[in-house]
Order: sequence, then C-alpha cells, then structure tokens
Amino acid sequence: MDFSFPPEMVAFRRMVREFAEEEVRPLAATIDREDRVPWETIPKLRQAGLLGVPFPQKYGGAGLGEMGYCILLEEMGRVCTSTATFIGAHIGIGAMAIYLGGTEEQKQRYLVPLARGEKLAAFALTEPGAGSDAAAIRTRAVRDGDRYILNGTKIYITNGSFADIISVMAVTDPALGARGGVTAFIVEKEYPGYKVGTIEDKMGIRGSATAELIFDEVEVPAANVLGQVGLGFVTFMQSLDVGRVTLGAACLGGAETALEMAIRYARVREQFGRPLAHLQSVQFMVAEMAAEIEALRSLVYRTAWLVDTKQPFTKEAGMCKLLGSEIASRCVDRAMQIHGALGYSRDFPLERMLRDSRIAELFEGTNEIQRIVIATELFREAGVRIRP
Amino acid sequence: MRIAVCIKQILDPRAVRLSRSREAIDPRQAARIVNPPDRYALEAALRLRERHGGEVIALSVGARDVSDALREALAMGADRAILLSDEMLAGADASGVARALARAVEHIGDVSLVLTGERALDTGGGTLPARLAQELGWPVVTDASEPQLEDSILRAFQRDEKQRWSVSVALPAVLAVTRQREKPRYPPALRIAWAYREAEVETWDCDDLGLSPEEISARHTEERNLVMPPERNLGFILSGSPEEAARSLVAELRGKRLI
Amino acid sequence: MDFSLTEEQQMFRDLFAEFAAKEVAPQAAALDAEERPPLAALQKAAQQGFLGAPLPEAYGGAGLDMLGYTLLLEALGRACLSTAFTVHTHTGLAALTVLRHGTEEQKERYLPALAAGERTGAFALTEPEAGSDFGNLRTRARREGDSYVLDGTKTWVANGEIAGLFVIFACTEGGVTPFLIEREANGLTVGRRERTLGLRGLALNPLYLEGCRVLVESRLGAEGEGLAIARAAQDRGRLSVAAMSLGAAQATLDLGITFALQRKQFGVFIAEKQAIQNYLADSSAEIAALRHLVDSVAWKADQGGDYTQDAAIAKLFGSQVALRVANRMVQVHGGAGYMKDYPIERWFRDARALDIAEGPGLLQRAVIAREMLAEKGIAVVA
Repeated sequence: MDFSFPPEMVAFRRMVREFAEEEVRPLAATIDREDRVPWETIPKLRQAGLLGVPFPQKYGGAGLGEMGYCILLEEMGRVCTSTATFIGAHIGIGAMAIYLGGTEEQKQRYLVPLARGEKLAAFALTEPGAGSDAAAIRTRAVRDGDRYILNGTKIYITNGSFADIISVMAVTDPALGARGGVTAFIVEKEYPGYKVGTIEDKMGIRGSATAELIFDEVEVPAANVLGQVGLGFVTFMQSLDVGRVTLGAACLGGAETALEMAIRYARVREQFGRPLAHLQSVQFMVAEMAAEIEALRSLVYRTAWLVDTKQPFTKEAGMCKLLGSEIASRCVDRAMQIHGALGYSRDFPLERMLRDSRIAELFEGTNEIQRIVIATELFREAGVRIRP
Repeated sequence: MRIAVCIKQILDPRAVRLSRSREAIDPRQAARIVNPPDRYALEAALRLRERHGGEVIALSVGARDVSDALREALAMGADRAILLSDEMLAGADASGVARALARAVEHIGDVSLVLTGERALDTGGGTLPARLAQELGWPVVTDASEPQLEDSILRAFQRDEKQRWSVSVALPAVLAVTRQREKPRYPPALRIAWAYREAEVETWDCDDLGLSPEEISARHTEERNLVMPPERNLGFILSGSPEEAARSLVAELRGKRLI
Repeated sequence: MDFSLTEEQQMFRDLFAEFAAKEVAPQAAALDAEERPPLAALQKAAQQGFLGAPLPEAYGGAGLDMLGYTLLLEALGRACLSTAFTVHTHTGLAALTVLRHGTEEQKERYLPALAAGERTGAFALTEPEAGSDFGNLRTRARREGDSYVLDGTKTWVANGEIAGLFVIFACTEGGVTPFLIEREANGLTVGRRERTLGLRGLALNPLYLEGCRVLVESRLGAEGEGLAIARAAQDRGRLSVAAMSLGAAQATLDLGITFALQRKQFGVFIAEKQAIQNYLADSSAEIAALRHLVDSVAWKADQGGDYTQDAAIAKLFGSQVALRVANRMVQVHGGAGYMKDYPIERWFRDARALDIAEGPGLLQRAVIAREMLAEKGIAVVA
C-alpha cells in the first residue's frame, strides 16, 4: 500500500496551485461582488490544459484520471468555489456524461473539443418538479424520423447560460418512466428552439452561472442519443457518481483554507492579554477541523483510486459528497466563530466562504439523497432492496 | 537552431523559514521549485523556437532529485533535458558550475544561444551568466528581456526606471533573462503527465564531459558572513474611500501616539 | 408556578405581533437587498409607543417589564432581525442605560426624545483591540476643567449612521466611564458602514473621536463605573438576543413547514418524509425549550437579582438554536433554499450574526463556566 502521490501528480498539484493562486484567487471576491462568471480565467484554463484533466489523451485530455481531477478541484476549491463549480460542471458531469456513455464518433465530435476547452459543457437534469426526485422529469423527447423533438424546461443548470454542449435528460417513453423511458441527448446551443431563460440570483457561488434552459421544439439528431435509448439514467447516474467524488475534493480544499485562516488569526488576534491560540476552546476547534480534514482527504483520494482502478465506488462517492459538504460547512463555521465580527464582514473572505460552502449540502443530490444512496447500497449488499 | 537553457532547482524562497535561534534556514516546509527567473528564460527560449524552429535543451547541475526541475522544463515544452550530476560537482562554486555547464554546451554541439535567469533566488550572486560566457568565449547580455532574432543577430531589451533600449549581439551568445510582465506559461497538464511518466532525463557526469577534478574544485568565491534580516511587525489594512481611509489612518496614528 | 402570560402580557404580545406582521415583515427583503436601515418602521414603532415601552410613563414609556420587552423583541425578530437589532440597540442598550444610570437631567433631556423616536440611540463599546475583551479600551477621555476631551476609535457601532445620541465608553483617570454624546458634537465622526454577510438592514459604523469635547454633565455615572454599566447592558443584551433568536427560529421553522407542505417529490409532500419530519421535530423541540428559557430568565431579571449567568446561558442556547433551525430549514428547501427568490437564505445569513453579536458563543461559555466555578469558590481567568 503506497499512500504517496505519484511524481506526475505531485508536479501537477504544484502547477495547479500556482495557477490557482496567481490566476483564480485574485478574482474570487470580485466575481462574487459583481455576480459574474470569471470569463478572463477560461482561456488561461484552456491553455494550461486544465479543462480535460481526467480524460485520456486520445480524447484531448491530460490523462490524469480521477486522481488528477480531484487534485485540480481540491486546489481550485481552496481559492474559489465558484470557479471550482464551473470546472466541475464542465468536466465532471457535462463532458463526463459523453465520456462514459458516448460512441467513439460522439467522443471525437464532442468530447475532444470539450477536453481541450474549446467548447464548454453543462449537464441538464433538474426541473421545477424534479429535484431530488430526478425520475419525475417531464421534458419530452419525441421521435420523428431521424430526429427527436425536445420540449421542456430545466432549472438550476450550472454553466447553463453559456454552455456550448449540453447533456440533457428527456422522457422518451412516459409509460416506462425512469426504467427504460428516459434517454440522454447531446444538445448544441445553436439548435433552434433552445433558449437560456432566467439566471438565478443566489446566496453564494455567485461567480457560477445557474440558469433555466428552455427547449421549445428543439430538433436533436438521432445520432446525438447518448448511450442507449431508454437507458439515460444509467449514464447520468454514473456521471453524478464521478462528480460526487470531486465535489468532495473541492470541499476538502475549502475546509483546508478555513483551517489555515483559523490558525493564522488565532495566532495573531489578542484578547485578554494573549493570542486566541492559547484558549483551549479555540485549540479544540482547530484540532477537530484538522482531524475531519485528514479523514476527508483519505476518503476522497481512496475513492479516486477506486474510480481509476475501475472498482465499484457508488457508495464511497456518496460518502465523499456527504461528508465533504458537511465537513466544509463545519470548518468554515468554526473559522467564523474564531474570527468573531471580522468573519461577518464582507471586507474579509470568510463570509463569502460561508455562503459558498452552503450549496454543497444542497446540489448534486442533497445530503438526504446521499444518505439514501449509501443506505441503498449497504442494504443491497445485505440482500435487501429498500424503497426511498 | 539549438537553444540551451540553464536552470537551477532551489528551495521556494516564499516557504523557507528562518530559524532565529539557530541563525539558519529551516528548509523543512519549503518545496523545491525551478528558480523563477530561469522560468522566464525557458519561456523566452520556447517563444524563439515557436518563431524560428529548432530545439530547446534544458540543463541543470545537481543531485538526482534535481531531475524534478528538468521534468518541469520538459513539461513546459523543452525538447530535451540533461542533468549534470557528479559527486565532484556537489561542492563546486559558481565558477565550477559555469565550467561544467559550458563544457556541456560544447558537448551538445551546435548550440547558438544559451539562456538563463539573471540570478538564482537562493544564493543570488548573479555571476553565472558572465562566467558562463567567459568559459564559452561568447558575448553576454545581462538583464535582458524579449529576445528577438533576425538572421544571426540577437536583439534584446534592457531598461532602467526611465527608459528602455535594445542591445544587439551576434550569435552565439549568452543571455541572462530578467523578469517580465508576461508570466511564463503554465506547463500544460498533458505534458506534465508525459514529462513525469515517460520522458527521459539524460544524465552526464564529469567523465562524460571530460572534466577533471582540478577544473571544478578551484574556489573563487568565499562566504564571509551570514546576517539575519530584521524582524517585521504585522501591519493592518485600511479600507474605504480615500477620505475615510485617511481619517481612520490619522485616528490610528494618533491613538498610537505616533503623531 | 404559573406559566401563562397575564392578560396584559397577552395583549402586548398580540399588539407586537400585529405590528411586526404589518409594518416590519413586508420591508425585510428590501432592507436586505438595498442595505438600508428601517427608518420608517422605527418611526411607526415610536408612534405606537414601542420604542420607549420599557421606560416609566413619566418619560413617555409604558413601564413594560423585561418579560414584556422580550415579547417585543421576539415579535420583531420573527419579522426581521435587522429591525429587531435596530430597536434593541436604541431601546435596550441606549435608552435603558440612560434610565438606569443617568442623572435626572440626563433622563429628562434624552429619554422622552428617545421614546418619541426624535433621536435614535446607539451604544459604542467595542474597539479594534477590544471585542470580547471589552475591558481593554483605548479610547481616552481627558478631564480639562469643566469638560472632557475624547480621543479614540469605536467599531461595529449598531445604528451608527442613524443615531442622534451615543453612549460612548472611554477610559478616564478613574477608570472606564460612559459618556452621552450627541451626534452634532464636534470631533465626532461616523465612519463608513460595515458591509456584512447578513443583518444588512442594520447600520454598523465605526466612530472616530478626535478632540471631541463634552461637558462634565455628559458623563454617565461616576468615573470608573463604566464596567459595571457595560455589564448590566450586556446582561440585557444577552437576554434580548435570546428573545430575537426565539423569534427568528420560529420564523424559519414556519417557512420550512410551509415549504414542506407545498413541495412534492416522489409523489408525496416532502413533509411526509421522515428525514424532513426529523428536522421539523428537532427544531420544534429546541424552540419550545428556548421559549421557556427566555421567559424564565426575563422573569428572573424582573425580580431584580443578578441574572448574568442565566442571560449568558439564554444567549448561548438561543443563538445556537436559531442557527441550527435556520440551517435545517435551508436543507428542507433543497436547492430552492439557496436562491434569493425564497426568504430562507436571508434568514440563514441574518441568523449567523446571533452567535457573534453581543459576545460570541465562546465568550458566553467562558462567562457561564466562570460564574459556575465562582459559586464553588474557584476563580477562573476568562
């Protein structure tokens, strides 16, 4: 058992950290305040080859697998959750769906430009009536000759307002529902009838664009069916599983930053004649943060190893997301307690981190859903099929 | 054309700690990185290759682990990487290192330009480029930026606070590259995978270079004194409009009885 | 032991609730979005006699006791925390400090104006180096003949930019001493508003004192009485925050219940899912406990004894309940809980202040432990 990262991963982390510190961190507060996407960062991400990290080189990626991808999101999560969210939606669920479910032709046509960062991706599943209950989607895809006509509305889609290539879930057979009646499609933003609707005003990750997508008689070639007709959920759930591991990595990054800030402040801030670091309460808070971070780090990278060695990882992926999000929130909250009023001020990054970290327990499947996923796996291993 | 870039692996100066009690550097936390000015040199070399074709060869002197810096150079885009590694080189000073590098450049053959960063941020004497040029018998341009090539004439820019001027030199030449506004490129993730998994770093020792111990061991520099920098107090940051910031600054200074 | 409210208290409770629902709650979203203080609500509260309610009738008040005052703050906290803090700072911190420690002249000069809302009150204790450690003040008040000259900086002063009267704590030769200083005084400058995560409808400003000269008559109490005065205000403040927390927790629980009864997933209202029920149940239990705690501490305060430890307990417990309930209710809302279309995200941001304002949870614990151990004869340093 070797717990060290291979040399290329060490070198990759070093490069990503430098990129994150030089190019991403300086914009984090600005994009939050201005409520905009960091457009200027995207070409730089592209030039550094960071928009296709896990995909094999033959598809234009860097060939660094899930482990490299986790490193990327951990380092981005350290400095800017919005940017990490943008990357995660592009690579981890948008492009990933095509990588996991696409034909060779679809991969050459769509995955390659996405991996190279020449085009940007989104993943459209959620609808007003279908959040946790993803099976309740109503967007309809009707076959018409060599095409499908799509009608419906998707909401809360990350990167939705500007994505070039969108992986969309639609109902092809209402009678069959989730089991055999839902199909994944690759949609290009230029298709007539495809429209971007409202862009959400959110508590946090304000540098990430969350949009409503409207499909009004959108014609999608049959060649753009992703995976098999009726088996859309298989592809999408696989994608979501992979995405959850890296969300855990992004949360790890955020938690690490919260810990660093807490220690730094406790060293410097004096009350009652000595630094806060001498208060046992503060010491214990910091110790608990560090212990949780260690545990999360091991969980995330071990799960990345499971993914890269093609072992089952659904349960562990759910755990990465569940624990990652809750640990990140707790760590940021503790850091805020240690910083007192300063932590509440918008002139200091901590309140943004609090707002940004809150989303992790809500999206990519709420933590309640993660618990259901984990419990389902556990009981299935024990021979029982539970109903959520 | 063949361009050789001499790089050095150093401890990250931003992460190095000073132990005041022991009056020494505590390297524990510091990562090893490519000397930042050398990355500017590498970037300049890669741009010249992009314009005029040719080959960029990264060179470094050091122990086996220095190959890490060379792999980073490969990841950035260098075509070849050569490590000069020998016990005899371990104790060499700048003159010894310059001699070894010069010999390597000659050994490679057909090199028309040598680039290096203007100084190493750890020991920082800044004499290497000149010594190197001396060994090679080539001209040297120091504090240079934006090198451009026309036929066999190399043009580079130097500046002071007030002005900027160009210097032209015939190849072959040595150029000591200074920091510029445009940062060196990030090594693309794809090349990092290749550089660390598959690429080969060639290793040469003194025998390969035909260097004798006497040529290396002569010491021309001497360390006389080590001085700790003065302690710094933490500052504070003012925010608000200029009027408000000025007012709070004055209140602070008065409150601290400084004015 | 009678746990029911008297008829008069019930009347006040209903009155406060109606006012909060009609005049305060509808403004909450706008105050947050536009980051402005609730001036209109403040005036209306003054007209209704609420701002001066705890003052004796002689000064334009209604003689409302602490229990009644917590009913007011709970109602306001249930509608809008920014407004609740604005009123609490004005009434509970500023006005009641003048009432308890002022001379007759000071009371006659300021209390009617404060009750009528002609001047808004603020309370300036905190400094950059003195947060939890409020004994470590650097603002100086130098005696010069029949006046004092004040120099220093105060931070995080609630109501700063709307206040007409400040209670400002400074160090004199005799020790920490508060002063009553009007906005118009020379040498007093209100600085730029703090931008905060939540409570964006609460004005928070630094105060700069530079050669601010005030007459001796502005001094509140004797030199050196300041720490005792500050502690008394803190006790009131802690209980007040507990009451506001109670209101906020109830408000967010109500939002969660409403959402859970409207949102259907998996073919049923999410209220039928056990996970959601658990969140609602835990919240309900905590709120019930908090309500009894606030009532009993308010009753104890009205009996006249020392209630420092009880107030710290109420504040610690109350702020944590409000945070937990708000956090759970965001979770109940799912993705919608993150969108500004729904009010719950504002409550989440506002509630976060309840642990920090008026002494963070860590400080409350230190106070509680210290008092407990002091009873056993052990003196602990903070």
